[in-house]
Amino acid sequence: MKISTDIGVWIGALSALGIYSVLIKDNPFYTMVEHIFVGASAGIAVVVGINTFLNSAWSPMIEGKYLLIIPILLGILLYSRYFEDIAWLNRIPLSFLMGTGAGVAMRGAVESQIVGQISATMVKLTTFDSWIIFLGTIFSLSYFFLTFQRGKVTGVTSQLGRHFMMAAFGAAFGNTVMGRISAAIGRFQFIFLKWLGLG
Amino acid sequence: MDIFDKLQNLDKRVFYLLMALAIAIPTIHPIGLPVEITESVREVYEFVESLPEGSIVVIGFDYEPGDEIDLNPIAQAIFHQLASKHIRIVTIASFPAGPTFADECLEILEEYGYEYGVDYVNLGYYAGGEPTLAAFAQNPATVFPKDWHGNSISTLPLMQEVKSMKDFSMAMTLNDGPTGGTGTHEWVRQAVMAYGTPLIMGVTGVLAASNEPYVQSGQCKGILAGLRAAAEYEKLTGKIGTGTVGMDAQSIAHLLIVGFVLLGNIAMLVSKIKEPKDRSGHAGGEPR
Repeated sequence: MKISTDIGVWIGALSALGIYSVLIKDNPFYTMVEHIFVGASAGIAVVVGINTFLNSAWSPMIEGKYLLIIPILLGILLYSRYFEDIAWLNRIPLSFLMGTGAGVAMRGAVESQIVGQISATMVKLTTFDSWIIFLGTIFSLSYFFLTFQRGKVTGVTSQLGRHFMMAAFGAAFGNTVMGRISAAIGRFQFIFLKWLGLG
Repeated sequence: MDIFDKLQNLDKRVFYLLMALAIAIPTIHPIGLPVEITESVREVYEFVESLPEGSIVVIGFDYEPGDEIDLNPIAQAIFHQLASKHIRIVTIASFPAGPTFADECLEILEEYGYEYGVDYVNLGYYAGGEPTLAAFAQNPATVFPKDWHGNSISTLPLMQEVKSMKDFSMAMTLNDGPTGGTGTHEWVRQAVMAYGTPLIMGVTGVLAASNEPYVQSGQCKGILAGLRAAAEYEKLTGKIGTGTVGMDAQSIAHLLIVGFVLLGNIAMLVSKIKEPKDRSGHAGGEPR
């Protein structure tokens, strides 16, 4: 056993223990660590934000890329919402952000998320997996036929579609559990191996 | 109250304690449970093996500290393989903590004699999500005039060879979801659909199922999901790291969960059978 002498490791380990202490019951140690976490996260975000602004906009602008004044001014306009008289000005950069965001996303969305995915279900039905993909898609889609009364056939297919979706949710939940356990493993490795020097 | 009722009303802190032990014991004393390599992980490995020596790849560190344990081991395992083929690496990040993780993982490149600026570069954090990724894909210098360490991009020899996303022989995103950063869908749109750059994903377990359709459609070359994929990849590269160390704890914790799910359901069924039935024949009693 070789306990770490790094102050950062100590702070990390004690904070982790503080967060885990809520599993026993709510307590001041947990609340304190939670507040420190929120404050530290906000602080880091501010520093990173300022650095990003300086590196990506301010420095290049004063080095000669004067057109960057336009996005800088648009960025400043976002803060106009805090002043009632000129709050409407913040709609200009917001509209710009929404417009560019939507435009950029549309660039590949149709092909990647609609055409590509539909093509992927048009598979040669030679393997068990391909049958699962084919039937799973048809049955799941039939579950969402809501514009007409379900008959005998569509009733069965929509019910099967529901089961296919349940299986998908189960797989997603299993992966979620795995992810949460991994997070705990990470903290335990940190506490036992890096902080306490066990193992 | 019999044993089945007690099981259904078990204090959750007992479960927490057992879970803590299930993770702590194998962490301190690894058992060395076998790790089988799955087809999906092998496919990613073989794809990376097929990349030309000396080519350049871009890797996005798109995750927050909470998912470090899932994604850092994947990044390190991939870096070992890339370095063994002397493939050059450019990292970017859509979360503020990303560049720190990138630096941490890039450290392993020193053992391969990699030189900063020549063989690898950490460009740092970019704000703005997909539109900024699109701008990076078009011309990296517009988004990153300087790298994470403050060096002008024009002074880095590696970046002189990168004019757009097309110059990367592979893109990879280490991703924990689109909240606050650039998600996997955005990478597919901006790297694969716009420039035809092959993409692989390293994702948290939560995201594996929802991204599988991209592999099915050929838009993504493969997915490495969570700690397990990292352990498998470490086995393939022969460089054992934190992924393998964590798998014993992962397996035992999963066994514990499965055990409790089974016990809980058995207890519920037995209790239902034992409950007195009302006049209509349904199991009665107060609702739980």
